[in-house]
Amino acid sequence: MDLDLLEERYQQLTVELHPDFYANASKRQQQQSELASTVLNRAYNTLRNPVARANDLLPRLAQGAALDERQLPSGFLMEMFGLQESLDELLESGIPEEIAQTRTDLTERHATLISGLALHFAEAEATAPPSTLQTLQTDLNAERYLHRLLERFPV
Amino acid sequence: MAYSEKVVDHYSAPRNVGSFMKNDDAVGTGLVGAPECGDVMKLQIKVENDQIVDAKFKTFGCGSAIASSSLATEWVKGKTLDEAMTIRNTEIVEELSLPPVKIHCSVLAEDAIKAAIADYKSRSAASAD
Ligand code: FES
Repeated sequence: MDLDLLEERYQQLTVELHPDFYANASKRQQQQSELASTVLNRAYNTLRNPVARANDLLPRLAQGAALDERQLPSGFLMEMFGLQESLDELLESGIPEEIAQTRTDLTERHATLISGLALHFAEAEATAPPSTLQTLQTDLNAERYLHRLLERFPV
Repeated sequence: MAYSEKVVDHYSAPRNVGSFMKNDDAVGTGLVGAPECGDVMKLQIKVENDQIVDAKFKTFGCGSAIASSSLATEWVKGKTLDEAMTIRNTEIVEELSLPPVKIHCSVLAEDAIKAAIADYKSRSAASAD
């Protein structure tokens, strides 16, 4: 997605919907512009975050087809649990280089998963085979676990 | 969000944290994750003559998940496997006064109990062969 274009359109619409323009308008019009602003902000926040965008888009692509929202790559849960456990030790022992390295590795893995989403989406939009949709769902499921791990690092 | 007193109690002094040896034949291990948030929980039971004699857990998750699993280990102890199977997340919700947004945290604990029992059963069936 073209993020610059998104930003540009968002700014433009924000200005158009600005309450100042409606200072002399009817109560009804004022309310409508407020409502439109809320919708605009929600849409913007969803669109600019690739994971939120994917989570929003997938059910639309699936068109009611049931996707397994629990499915994870095989062995993934066990691995995540193991990583959580070793992170306990790591964060406690506090060797800064090791913490930084683990963080970099996990960040990369998370980023790879997210860029993979974009590819799968392109594929799904073109042909939408159910298996691609489930792959996307599985990736999105996995994303949350990686996200949780990353949240544990001190900022 | 404010946690209930009981959640705080379990969260600040969790019962039965730890692990049993996974490959001990008397042990069943349930490892589950919450798809909603990416939290993970491991709950283990030690079984003698179809009765759960001990339980341990380790949870990487929110306070409600930690409290739910801590409570779950307390509840399963002394129960038979069949009795433990009937524990519902709604009972955990009630006991801990969990708000609606935290219901999935209690589901995690129910799932973990069931997974631990299933693991124990499948392993004891396998070792009986
Ligand atoms: S928020 Fe994830 S288990 Fe409670």
